[in-house]
Amino acid sequence: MLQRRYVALIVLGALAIAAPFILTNVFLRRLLVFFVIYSILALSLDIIMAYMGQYSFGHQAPFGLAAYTVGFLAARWRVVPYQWLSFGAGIGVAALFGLAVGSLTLRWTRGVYLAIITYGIGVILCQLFFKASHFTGGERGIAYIPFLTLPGVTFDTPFSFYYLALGFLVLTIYIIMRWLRSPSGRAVIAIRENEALANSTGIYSYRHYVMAFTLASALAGLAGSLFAYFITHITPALFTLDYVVMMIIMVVFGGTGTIGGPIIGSAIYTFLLRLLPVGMDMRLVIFGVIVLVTIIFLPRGIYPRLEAVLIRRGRALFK
Amino acid sequence: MDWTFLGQNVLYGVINGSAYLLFAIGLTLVFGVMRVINFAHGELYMLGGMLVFELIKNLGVSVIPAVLIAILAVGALGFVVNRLVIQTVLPVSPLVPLLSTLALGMVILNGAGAVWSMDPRIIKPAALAPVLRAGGFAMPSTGLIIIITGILVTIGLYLFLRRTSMGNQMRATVQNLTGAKLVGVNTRRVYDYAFILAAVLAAVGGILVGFARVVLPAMGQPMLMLGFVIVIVAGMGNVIGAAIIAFIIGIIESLLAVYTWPTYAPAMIYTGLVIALLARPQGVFGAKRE
Repeated sequence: MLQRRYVALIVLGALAIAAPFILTNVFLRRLLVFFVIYSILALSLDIIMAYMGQYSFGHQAPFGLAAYTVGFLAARWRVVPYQWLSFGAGIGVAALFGLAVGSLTLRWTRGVYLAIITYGIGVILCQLFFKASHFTGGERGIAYIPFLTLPGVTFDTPFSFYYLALGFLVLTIYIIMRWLRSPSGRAVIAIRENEALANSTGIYSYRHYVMAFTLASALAGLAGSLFAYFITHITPALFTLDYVVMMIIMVVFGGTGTIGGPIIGSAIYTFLLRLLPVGMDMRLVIFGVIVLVTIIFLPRGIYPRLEAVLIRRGRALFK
Repeated sequence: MDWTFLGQNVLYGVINGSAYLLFAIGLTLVFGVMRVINFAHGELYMLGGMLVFELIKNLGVSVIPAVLIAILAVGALGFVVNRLVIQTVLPVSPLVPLLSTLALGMVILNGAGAVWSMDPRIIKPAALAPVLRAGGFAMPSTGLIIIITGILVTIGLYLFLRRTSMGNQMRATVQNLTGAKLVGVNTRRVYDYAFILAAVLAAVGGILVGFARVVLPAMGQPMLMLGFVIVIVAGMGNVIGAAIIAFIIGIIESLLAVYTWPTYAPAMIYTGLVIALLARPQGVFGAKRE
């Protein structure tokens, strides 16, 4: 069984590495990069939704803040000598945001209240970034973000950027799996199951929840920094509800509480959404209906089903 | 200080407040009765306005039947939404309806955008409506209708909750779900009634605001946020409190827009929400829980 798992991983890894050679079209390669970045984003939201058992309807905020930090440091003010420094600063700002919001809200609020308060924070940031145009560039946003470089490579094409993003996706998966097995990750799951019980056994729920929220925000910031350096032109639309709805679709449709679920969800969202031959409005309608059906009939998402089918097929294959 | 100017803007605030009241009362009623926050409430409000526009402008229905048809249609939709999107997932966890109504809101919003396009439309030019003037103050008749409806709805709802059997059953469900079931309250029917009532009130709000200004598919979005502010500041589930807070928020917003920076008035109101929620999650009228 264990070996089969490794075989599956190797096949998946090979597919991931070969993908840009199979999809040679620039448009499809761009979608591939978006898919990887959105996977990071969906995985980060899943920390809150699956492991903390809470809803954040403002998870686009750390994503957008990281992208704007990159925009300010690398394109508007051009103060940072190394691109990687502003890349890291984006993640740092997102993490700080998560720490601040988490430590302010998580002491008292859970559930519906947390959902509304995070929604409100998202709306406030959206308003500010759209309207404070002398500072943020308003609707035009910030353009001309330079490319990331490493010795010998400039990440200026979807092809090269894909591998960079893929590396960060693997890192994200590693961090989440490591965190889940760490005392803090286990504590968060214990709190989700029964907060009063966890508290009475000496788990300080507030601290662990704030840490988990900060981790989720930092990972969303990673996605935001990558996003800014990839599309090189950011607008305040990053802070609109559309982005958080997109993340929720990916997580819920794919399947919460798994690594594969959010990734499958973002693959289906990214590729299907762009390739459907209808207008943007109708695409969102179709996806909304799909999500509604998923929530009502498949509350755990499609990934567990998919996994079961694949394992059955795999067994047949290895017999 | 120009007192007429101040008074005039307070009047405008009262008009806005009445519109917020019609919107927020339904939101808080649904939360009180079934502990569910309906993220699609703004879309029900929008559908009211858009349906009236469609009926009057494209189907040639006259005003009063158009309004009645729109209200009935949104009420019926409310029933379907409650049964299909909320009651099916409510047993799983009280949080899941947040997701399902958010998805539903996206479907309705973008569906409306696809059908009608996102442009604002005018049902009847509000500028042509008569304006009442007294002592230097002006009050548009459309605004006056909103205020009167808002006050009548508040009184009506108060009487409904206090004097009728269904109202009593609703209050019993709010206080103690299991207890209400034990004494024979059909909570399923209470849920239906509460949700239909909320949908109808949202539609009435959308229609009246549509007559006073414009209708557009995105009109429900900012209302949703203001609705949350009102519902939370008043204490979730507190219907009469929501009515009072709605007027106060309407006036504050109007004054902030005139005396500070108009662009940031909504952001300031929302910041107030976050602070209110952190400081007193139970609301200003609510007793301390736990």
